[in-house]
Amino acid sequence: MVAEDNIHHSYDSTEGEFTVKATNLVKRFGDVIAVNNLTFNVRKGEIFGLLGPNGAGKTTTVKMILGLLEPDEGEIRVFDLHPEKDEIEVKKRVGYVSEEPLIYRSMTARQLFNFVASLRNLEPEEFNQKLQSLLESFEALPYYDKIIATLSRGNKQKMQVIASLLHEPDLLIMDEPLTGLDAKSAKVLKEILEMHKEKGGSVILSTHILEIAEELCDRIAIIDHGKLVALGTIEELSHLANKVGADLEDIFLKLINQDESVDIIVDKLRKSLKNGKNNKK
Amino acid sequence: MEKTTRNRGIGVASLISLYKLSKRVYHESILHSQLESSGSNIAKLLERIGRNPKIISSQPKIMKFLSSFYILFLTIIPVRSITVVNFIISSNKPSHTQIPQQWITLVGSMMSSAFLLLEPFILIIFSIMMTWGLFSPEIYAWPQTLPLRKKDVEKLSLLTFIRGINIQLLFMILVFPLGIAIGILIDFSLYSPIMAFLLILTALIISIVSAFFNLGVVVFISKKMYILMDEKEDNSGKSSIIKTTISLLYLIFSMTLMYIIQISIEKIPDYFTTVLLSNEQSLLVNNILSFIPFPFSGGYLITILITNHSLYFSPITVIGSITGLIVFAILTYFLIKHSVSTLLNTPKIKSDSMKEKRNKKEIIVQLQTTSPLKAFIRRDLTIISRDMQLIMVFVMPIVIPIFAVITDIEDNVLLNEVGLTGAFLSVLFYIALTTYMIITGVTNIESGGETITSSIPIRTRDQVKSKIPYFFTSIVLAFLIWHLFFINDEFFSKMIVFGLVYLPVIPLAGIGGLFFKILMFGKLRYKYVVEEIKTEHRFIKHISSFLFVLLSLLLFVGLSFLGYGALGIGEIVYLTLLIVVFNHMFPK
Ligand SMILES: Nc1ncnc2c1ncn2[C@@H]1O[C@H](COP(=O)(O)OP(=O)(O)OP(=O)(O)O)[C@@H](O)[C@H]1O
Ligand SMILES: [Mg+2]
Repeated sequence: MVAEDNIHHSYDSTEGEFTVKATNLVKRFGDVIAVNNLTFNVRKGEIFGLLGPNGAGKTTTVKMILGLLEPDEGEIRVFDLHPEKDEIEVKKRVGYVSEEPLIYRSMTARQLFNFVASLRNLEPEEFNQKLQSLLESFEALPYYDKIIATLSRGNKQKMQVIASLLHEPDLLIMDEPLTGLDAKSAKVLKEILEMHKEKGGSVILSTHILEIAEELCDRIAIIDHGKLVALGTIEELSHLANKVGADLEDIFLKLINQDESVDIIVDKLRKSLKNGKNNKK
Repeated sequence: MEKTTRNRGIGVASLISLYKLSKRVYHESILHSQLESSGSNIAKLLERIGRNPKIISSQPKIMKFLSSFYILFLTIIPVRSITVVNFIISSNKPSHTQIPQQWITLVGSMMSSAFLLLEPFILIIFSIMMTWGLFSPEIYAWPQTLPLRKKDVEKLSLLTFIRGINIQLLFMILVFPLGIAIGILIDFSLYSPIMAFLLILTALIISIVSAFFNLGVVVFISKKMYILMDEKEDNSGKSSIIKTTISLLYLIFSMTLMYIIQISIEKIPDYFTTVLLSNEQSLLVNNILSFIPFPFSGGYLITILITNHSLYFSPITVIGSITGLIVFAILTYFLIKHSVSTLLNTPKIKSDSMKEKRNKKEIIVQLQTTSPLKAFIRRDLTIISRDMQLIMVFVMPIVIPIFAVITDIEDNVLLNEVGLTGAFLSVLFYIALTTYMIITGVTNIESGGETITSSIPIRTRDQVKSKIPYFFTSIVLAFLIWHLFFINDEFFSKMIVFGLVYLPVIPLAGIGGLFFKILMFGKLRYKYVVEEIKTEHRFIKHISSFLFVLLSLLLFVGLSFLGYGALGIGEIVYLTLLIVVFNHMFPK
């Protein structure tokens, strides 16, 4: 109940400009309702977190924002544009990192960036320097002439991230961007996101890792089973969960009503592990 | 001390368990090479393997079966070498024109030698593609994590290779003595049991030596092939061109060779009856050739035994064939020794070569941009050139008609069987099939890079435009090549004229098929995309796309009955329709 109230307060507030407006989104895959009546707004100059357990509907939501999936119901506006009808205009201003780095396996990174730059109509003189410094800061320069198939998961991810940043988009949509990145590169990416925000850009960050959301996001939407459970800043959320000062993990579990069930699961796990050991003996 | 005794104690048992383990490594390597060659289809391949892991091993099984079958097929040669030699000897009565004795020896030896020579080629054709991957140190990465000693891992690489061609080796050893035995059974009155035993034993010995020799040759070539193919580390455009060329050459080489083998099995005896050398010439040739260890010495030795004292042999030939065989055995010994050490070294190579390749020349970041259309074309060409399956999609349409025409040009079996119309319809069916493969090939490229393309502002119009040139390549050529089929036919000149008028239909039907496929699979609410979005009823959609191409082709055959004018007008109408549809589906 409390949660619902807060949600309304949050997205109704008109302070600041909105980059993304999503209203009553519904997406079904057959019988599965992947996204169920989801409403949220993303402000200009904020990092907006989509947080939820596996299968919550984060990726589906993100894909709808990009116009890669059509919502069954509801409406989305990105920069006041329709992501499907005005696809080209929207994509010009968006950088996207997808969950799976499905980038052409048999191209080298060099060929990939040439391809991307050609389609985005980027001036080489203007963007060479930028590409160089991105490659250097992610320590990806040695892989520039390697075929992507031969790169490690993390290095593929870096190439994907760089490709999404190169054209200096206004909105970054990142679906689990830190997967596979080593500590240093993760730090670099976090810095980049902060800088992007300071310059007035927006970020939608989908993650199931609480620490990341807690560390980076200005506001967080907690999603479970396709539904919005809560939305707000960390303080607002902790207030909601009646656990002032608690860390996000407790808030999160409390909000999706899983704090007890987790205890039960952990308990069961312990028992079965114990039994397993006994059986072996 | 303790260690050495233990080593000896486990010896054979550990070898057997290692051989069992090698099955896993072997499958690993197959999977590895299948993934390598699957290019942009990797996700689909993994999905298929997930559903049915057995498909990993089915490809090498087919290869093993094929090569064993061909080796078995070669049995005919030793059988015939016995019957032919005995036939010439028995029909060589003084009353007839005397056939020089030395010449008979030459014929017999040539046939047996041809057999010994063909064996390694068959092994190479059917096995190399499966075996070169075994030299990748990567596949020994996980056995090295098992509680195995280094020595065992090395042995494992040897055993894995042997496992790769085990059945072929077995057949190779058995087929020669088997052929000789069958030949003896046919002419059984000519050979005493002791003589028969001696013959078969000799054949077995020759066969074992040459089987090992062939093993060595395959190891050698596989290794060379691996070095050529494994240039992943520094991937310049050059290396991908080299790889592609090698694969193509290999394909052409093996198909030509299969053809030569077939011809030689049929024609060798006939050929020899038409060329007659004088006795002295033959003697000289025999004396020289018998000293050449591979493949002649073995062939001579067996022929000397086959003729069973009924011919005169110069002692030089006898000595030559025996020394030659001994030299062959020694050569084989060294070759095998070398191969074994090559194989044993495989798991070790990795670390040093990798380090070396690292810190090399400085990398210069320099974006090079073009128009979107060109960028799409460039990307597609890059991907195609690095994807064996995709290359095949474009090469096969030409290769098959070329070989069909070559092998069928004398007898015209196809034309005689199904008639002119039937033959032309089969050609159209073939064209539809290959066109459809090209459609699937060029659209599949898109699904390999979803992440990138889905986030870029792409105009589908450019994307689709970039696919159109492919319909003017190999299928058009293939259609023309098929016409050579009719070269002996009285209607050939008419066929050619018709073919030329009909020619534009081939790319038009292909482009139509492409649009149709996009219509079926790529409908979003506000636009069409090249990727397969609507994937329900896949099978029906695929079949109907294929039928669309086939029916388009047939439609124009129908039109041609109304005359060339009608055909021409039909083509113009179809083209106009395509342009209208294109502008409608993919607006500016
Ligand atoms: N193409 C699809 N077809 C059918 N069901 C789908 C499809 N895509 C997603 N789903 C379902 O929709 C639900 C939400 O999936 P989604 O990928 O959005 O979750 P997620 O929050 O991104 O999870 P994760 O943290 O694992 O990435 C899941 O139940 C999933 O099974
Ligand atoms: Mg997801």
